[in-house]
Amino acid sequence: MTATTGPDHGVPHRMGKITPLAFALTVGAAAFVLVSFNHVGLSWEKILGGGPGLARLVSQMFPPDLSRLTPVLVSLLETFQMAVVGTVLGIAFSLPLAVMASAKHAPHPLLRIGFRGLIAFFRTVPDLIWALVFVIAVGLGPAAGTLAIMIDTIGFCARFFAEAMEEADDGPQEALTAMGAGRTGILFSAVYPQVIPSFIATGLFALEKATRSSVVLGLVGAGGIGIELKVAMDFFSYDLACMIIISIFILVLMVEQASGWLRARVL
Amino acid sequence: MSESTATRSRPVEPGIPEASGVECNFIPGPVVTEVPADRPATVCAVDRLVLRFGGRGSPAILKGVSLVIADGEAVAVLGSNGAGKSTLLRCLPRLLEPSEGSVSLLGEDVMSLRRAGLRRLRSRIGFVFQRHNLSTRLSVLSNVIHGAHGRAGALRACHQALAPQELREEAMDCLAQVSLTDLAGRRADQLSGGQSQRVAIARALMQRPEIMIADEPVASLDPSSAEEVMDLFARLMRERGITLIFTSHHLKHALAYGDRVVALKAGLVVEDKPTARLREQDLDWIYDSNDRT
Ligand SMILES: Nc1ncnc2c1ncn2[C@@H]1O[C@H](COP(=O)(O)OP(=O)(O)O)[C@@H](O)[C@H]1O
Ligand SMILES: [Mg+2]
Repeated sequence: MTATTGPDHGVPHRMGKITPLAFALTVGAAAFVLVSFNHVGLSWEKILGGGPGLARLVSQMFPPDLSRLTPVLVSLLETFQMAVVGTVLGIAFSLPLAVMASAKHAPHPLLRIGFRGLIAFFRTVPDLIWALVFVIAVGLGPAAGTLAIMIDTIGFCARFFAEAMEEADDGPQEALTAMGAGRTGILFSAVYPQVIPSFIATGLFALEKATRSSVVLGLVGAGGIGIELKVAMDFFSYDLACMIIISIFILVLMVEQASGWLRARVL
Repeated sequence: MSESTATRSRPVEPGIPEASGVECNFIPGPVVTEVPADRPATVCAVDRLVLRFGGRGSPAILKGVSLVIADGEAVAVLGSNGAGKSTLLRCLPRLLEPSEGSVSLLGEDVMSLRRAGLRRLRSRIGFVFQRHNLSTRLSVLSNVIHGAHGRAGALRACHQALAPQELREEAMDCLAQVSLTDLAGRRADQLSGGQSQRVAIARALMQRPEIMIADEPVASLDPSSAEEVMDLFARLMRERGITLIFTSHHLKHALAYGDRVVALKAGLVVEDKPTARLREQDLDWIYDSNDRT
C-alpha cells in the first residue's frame, strides 16, 4: 500500500474501478437470481423424485411403435413443407423490408425507424403466439402455422439482411452512383451481389429455425406433426410418441446437416 | 490583383459577333462560333468551391477552388496527401455536396440539378477510382455492362444475363479497347490489380463518356502495370477527344499525361499552368518536404 516507488507507474488496480451504480446493479442481479431459484421450486428431492417417473416413461417408450410409421411420415412431410413455404415467404418479404430498415438504403430515416420497429415486433413476439393469432384469423391447420413461420422468419431475416446491406462495401456503390445508376440499380448491381452469400446463410439458418418451430406449432392447432405428438402423449401412447420424437429428431438433424453443407459452399 | 481585373475592360460581345471575315458563312443570321453547337467549349467550370465535412463551424477542406477546363483537355490535379484532390473530384458530379460555390459540367449547373437530372448528367461522366470498385462477385462482362445504367435502366444493366444483345456486344467492344475480351466471363475477384483497373476503365467507356474523371487511377498498382494502365488510359481518352481530369501524386504522370497541371495545396489552387511550360523541379514546392509520396 505504502509503495516507496510512488504511484506514478500506472499499474492498474486488480479489480478496476466500480461505480456505486454498477455495484448496486450487480448486487441486485445476483439477488434476483437467488430469489428466482427459490421461486421456481426446484429442489434435489424433486429432481431425484422425478427419476423413477422418467425411467417409467422411457421404459414405456421403448420399443417405439412403428405401426403408424407411414401416417407419421406423411405428417412430418407436411410439417417440413410448412417450414419451407413459411421460410420462402418470409425471405421474400424480408428483401424489401430489409432495404427499408437499412441505415444506408432506406429512402428516409423515419421510414427506417418505423420498419426497424415492425421487424423487432415480429421477432420479439414468440412464434407460438403468432400461431395462436393466425389460428384465430385463418382457422386451424397448416395455413396458420405457415403464416406464423413467415412472420417469425421476417423478424429474423429482415434484421440480418439489413445489417448485411449496411456492412456492404461502399466502393462499388459509389461507382454505381457516379455512373448515374438509381437506387434500384445500385441495389441490384452493387449491394445484392455482395451480400448474397450472407443472405443465403441467413436464409438457411431461418429454415433450420422454422423446421424446429414447425414441429411444435401443432400443439396449438396450427398444423404439422405437433398435434400427433400431443394426442399420443394425451392417450399415454408413449411408444408412438417416441417414434414421432425420433422422426422429428431425424428431420431436424437432416435439415441442419444439409443447411450446414450448403452454407459452407456459398461462403 | 483586384484593381487590374477591375480596370481591364472585358471583351463582352452582346449577341452578334463582329463580322471579322475569318468566318465566311453564306447563311445569314445566327451566330457562328468555332465550337460545334451541341458541345460547349468549356466542359467544366468550378467557381469558388468550398467544402466542409461538418457544419458551418468545421474547417473547410476546399477553400474556394476555381477552375475552368476546356473540351478535350487533359488536366492533372496535383498535390500532397490530404490537399483535397479526391474531395475536389468527388464534388464535380456531386458525390460530395459542396458547401458553397458552383460547378458547371457539360453546360449544366450541377448544383441546381434535381435527382433525375443529376443522374442523367452523371451517366455522361466517367469516374475511375483509386480502388477499382467493381462488383467482385459478378463477371467482368456484367461489370462493364453496369456502365450502361444511365441509359438502359436498372434491370437491363444489372447483369449480363439480363442485358439485351446490343449492350453485351458494346460491352465486349469496350473490353476489346482494354484488351480483356478473353476474361469477359471471369469473376471480377479473380483478376490482378491492373486487370481490375482496366475493367473499371472499360466500364467507364461503356458510359460513352464526354468527360472522364480519374482519382489516382493507378496508385494502387505496381510501378510497371501502373505505367502500362496509365498509358492505355490516357491514349484512349486522347483518341476519343474525351476531356480527362485526373489526380496523381506522381509528378511524372502529371507531366507525361496532362496538358495542364493544376496544383492544390491545403484546399487552394496554387498553380495552374500548361505542362509544356513546367519542369519537374518547378513543382517540388507543392509538396512539403516530409509528405511527398
Ligand atoms: N469523409 C470525410 N470526412 C472528414 N474529413 C475528410 C473526409 N474525406 C476526406 N477528409 C479530409 O479531407 C482532406 C482532404 O482529403 P482528400 O481530398 O482525400 O485528399 P487527397 O486526395 O488530396 O489526398 C484530408 O485532410 C482528409 O482527412
Ligand atoms: Mg486522394
